[in-house]
Amino acid sequence: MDIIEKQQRIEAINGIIKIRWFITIIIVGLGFALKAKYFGSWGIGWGTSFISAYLKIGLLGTFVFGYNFIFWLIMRRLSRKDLGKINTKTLNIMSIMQIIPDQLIFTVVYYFQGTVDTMNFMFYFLSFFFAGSIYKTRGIILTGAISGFLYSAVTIIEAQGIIPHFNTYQGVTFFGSVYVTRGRIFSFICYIGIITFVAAFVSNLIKNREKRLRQQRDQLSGQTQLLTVQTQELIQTKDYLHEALTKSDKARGELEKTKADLENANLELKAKLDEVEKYGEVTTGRELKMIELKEKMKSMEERIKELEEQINKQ
Amino acid sequence: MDIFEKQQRIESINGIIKVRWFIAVIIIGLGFLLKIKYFGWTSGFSGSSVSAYIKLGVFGAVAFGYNFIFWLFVRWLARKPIEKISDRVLNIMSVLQIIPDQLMFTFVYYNTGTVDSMSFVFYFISVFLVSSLYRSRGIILTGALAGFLYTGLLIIEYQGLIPHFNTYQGVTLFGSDYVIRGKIVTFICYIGVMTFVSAFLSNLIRNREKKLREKSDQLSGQTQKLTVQTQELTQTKNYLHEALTKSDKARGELERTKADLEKANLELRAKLDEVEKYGEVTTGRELKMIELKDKIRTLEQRITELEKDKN
Repeated sequence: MDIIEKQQRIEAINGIIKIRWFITIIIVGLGFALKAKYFGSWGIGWGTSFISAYLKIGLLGTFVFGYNFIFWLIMRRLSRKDLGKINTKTLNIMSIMQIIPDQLIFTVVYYFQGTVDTMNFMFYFLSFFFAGSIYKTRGIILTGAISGFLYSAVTIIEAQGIIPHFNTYQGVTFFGSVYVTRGRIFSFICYIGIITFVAAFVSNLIKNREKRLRQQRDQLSGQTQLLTVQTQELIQTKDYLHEALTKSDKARGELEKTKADLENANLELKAKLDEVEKYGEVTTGRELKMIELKEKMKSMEERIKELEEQINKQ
Repeated sequence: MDIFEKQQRIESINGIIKVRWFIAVIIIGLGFLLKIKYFGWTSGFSGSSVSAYIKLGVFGAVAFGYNFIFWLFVRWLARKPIEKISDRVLNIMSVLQIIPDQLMFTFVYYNTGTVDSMSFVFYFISVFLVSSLYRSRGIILTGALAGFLYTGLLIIEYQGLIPHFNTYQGVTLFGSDYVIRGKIVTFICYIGVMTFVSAFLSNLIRNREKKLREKSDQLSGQTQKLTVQTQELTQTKNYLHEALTKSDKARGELERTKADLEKANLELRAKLDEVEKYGEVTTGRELKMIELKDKIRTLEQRITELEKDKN
């Protein structure tokens, strides 16, 4: 059993315990009421005297309340425990205990109220409601088999005269007719068949529905987890990209500044160079003049030489 | 009803129709068997064996007939898209899963011998089945209807308005005041118990389903939100990625421009240095030129002196 199954099992058992309080009160109350004179003193069901009959019914009720109280205590203790620690065996035993003691009590009630005369064979069908909320098909079929066995056994043993019969109603009884015994047992088994089938159908319908819903939930849960991881990854990537972009922008800004600085520097350099070059052009003019001057000097020196020669000749 | 509830309703009705085939077969089979001599089932479905078998057969045919109509109708419904199936149609179909059966059960209960018979138990099948369709209110109404039909039939029969059929040869509980009183009180108590149990289980299961559905809806909402978030984040991521690519590209270009500028800067500096060096050379020459001019002046003076001398 997985945790959800355990949870459901516990929930179902708790529900059955609650219902049992109510059913016990109704059945005991009904027993008390039917024993009243208005209903024909209810023949000799539960014995002839009122007081002993009421005591017997009260005792049986107390017994049921007793075991239901024990179940309630156990379940209360179980539900305090961690779900993972509750073992499957305990839950399986508790589940069976919701079916078998009730069926035995129903058999006792059925016998004391007058077997074939009474309507209370239908109590057995209550167990099917319970089994339907706890078990799947197999458990429900087994519950049916137990009911069939207990009912048939009591009816046959009584018909054989091994145990006495109590009339349900004053003055009239079905007991003693072989047709009644045959018909009742046969009908009961057929009814048990129908109820088993119906209970199994309802149980499977509900269990399948729940399974589908659970699958859907698990699928969605998986999807959500995946999306959460994906979102986290995306947020990381986004943050990383954002950081990278900020850095890149900053670096670009710096580059932009450097570029502007360089452009300025280049412009300044160019201006300087132009100036220098203009100066250079001026000096180039002088160069020519210097050559001129040198030539002039040469010619002057030649003239001086000439003049000196002429003077010397004189 | 939302889509989910409609789906569940249709599923339940389909299930009940399936179960009804089976129940009808069992009940009719049981009737046929009980009518044989071995069970001494005397005047139940009264008359001779042949007429009783015919009655049972007709009765079975009616049950099969209406179940077949339900089956056809639900098959036709299931072909339609779920949103188009109206709540009213489903509600009518749901009620039809309960009332005709209960009328049939009453009919069977009467013909098999009322107080003598065990077949009052059939009413409980309805209560069981109804728990798959309705919540507390529907289940309680089903119980009330069963109580009314059962009590009504017993009282009418007891008053002698309709004849009684014995279930078993030779013995009958019919005619006793105590039996009538006991049976009615007991049946009502049983129906009460069954109704309570059925409502309790139905609510248990429906609450469980509701919890699961709520959880699913919550998860579905979360998933949707996360999907939108993921889409937005993917968009932002793509946008950022694009911006980063552009920024990187622009930076690359800037890097290149910077390198170019740096190169140009270096070249300019080199040229300037060269030019300045040349400038220094020319400054030297300037001095030389002044010197030359001085020399020329000296030479001119000399020439003038020499010319004077010559003359």
